Amino acid sequence: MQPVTPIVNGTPREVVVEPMQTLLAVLRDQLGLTGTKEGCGTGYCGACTVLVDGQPVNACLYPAVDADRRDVTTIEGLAADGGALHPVQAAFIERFGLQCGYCTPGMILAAASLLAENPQPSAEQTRAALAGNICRCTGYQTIVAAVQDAAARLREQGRSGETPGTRSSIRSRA
Amino acid sequence: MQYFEPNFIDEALVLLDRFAPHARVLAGGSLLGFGVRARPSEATAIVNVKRIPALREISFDGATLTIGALVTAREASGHELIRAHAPLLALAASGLGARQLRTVATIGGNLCSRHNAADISTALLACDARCLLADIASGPTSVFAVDFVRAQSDPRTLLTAIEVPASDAVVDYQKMQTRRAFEMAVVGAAVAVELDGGTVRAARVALGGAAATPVRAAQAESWLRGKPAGAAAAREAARIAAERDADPPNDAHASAEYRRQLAGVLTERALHEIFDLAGGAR
Repeated sequence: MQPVTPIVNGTPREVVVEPMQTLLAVLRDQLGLTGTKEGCGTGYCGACTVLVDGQPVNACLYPAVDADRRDVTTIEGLAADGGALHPVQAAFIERFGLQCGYCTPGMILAAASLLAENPQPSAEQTRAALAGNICRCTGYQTIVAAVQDAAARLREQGRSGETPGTRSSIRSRA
Repeated sequence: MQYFEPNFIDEALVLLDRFAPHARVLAGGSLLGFGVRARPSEATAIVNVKRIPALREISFDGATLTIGALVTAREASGHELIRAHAPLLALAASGLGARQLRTVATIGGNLCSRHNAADISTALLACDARCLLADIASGPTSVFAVDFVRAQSDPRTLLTAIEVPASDAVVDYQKMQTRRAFEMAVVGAAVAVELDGGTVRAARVALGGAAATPVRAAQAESWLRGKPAGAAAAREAARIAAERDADPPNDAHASAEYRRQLAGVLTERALHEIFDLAGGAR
């Protein structure tokens, strides 16, 4: 068993893990953060997408030991401290970018990391960036529209290029 | 199951030797996890090599690009030195899986998977890449990537880096997948062509999914030498690659017949692209 301290949504969380335990198991079963969903469990569907140091990973494949002292952003950590939704979350609601909602946490985090790298993605670039996230309700049109809308909101707010998890990491280390 | 995080290559080699053949090297973990979780008793030690900085280095000395085995597909697709000196690797890495996988999947892991259609391995074959290996008994050695992917894995050996010789080749990578983001290629063709004006000086053609391992299409390569760049040469070289170089397996993903056809189609597309690019540049 191995002690590791991932910085989850800005807060260092000490956990003890098996060597090949997944980050998904730690988040859901040890930390109770059930917003991250398990879909296929084999890295194909993207439902379990979280951000590690701002980059999307499949939490069902990611070894928990590798999250030690790194910033992990889950859907629970995307909204601001006061509870105001992240522009990607707000846009998904307003544009009906979800049906059953199971793929949504992963979809939103993948979208947020895309917008951090590319503040004004085309529809095609958006589709390519979300290619690792399956929606079995097949609501892709509204999802792409929501991401484009979120991009516009972030630009209006002057938050273009903001990497999710970056602010929290500064906070946690201060 | 014991767990180790060595800080130096030698430390990792001692561990691999001590626990052989039951030690497992943990790189990105996207493939290793399945095996270990499915058969936990077969692995007695996990050697996580991510704390070894030397395995992440990327350098170019004017003649050779050296890429640490832990460099990820994401890094390989965007790194300035790799884009400049191994564009074929950058191209193949940029299309590997989805973003989530590219964040973690490593070049070394791709080679060590010895999957017959692994994108990065196929591209490295066409780069004439060499694999730098180390084990505690014999110290550092190197083998061509084409030999590495068809050799059996040695449980005491660590793949530390990949060397790609500088080349002025024009390159392209073409692949066919059943789905864009999730599947390995059914067949991939990585092609690098060095040209003198409108004539092929040398060509390197690597095929993934067209044999038991990624392979070089040696007969197509030797036929291309000295031929004028153009549609006729692309067609004939592709025919030779499909009919003589490919030796495709029949498996659940695709029939041998389909793979052979794809080997030809994708090689021809890649050559077209290369000849067009080179023609535009002249």
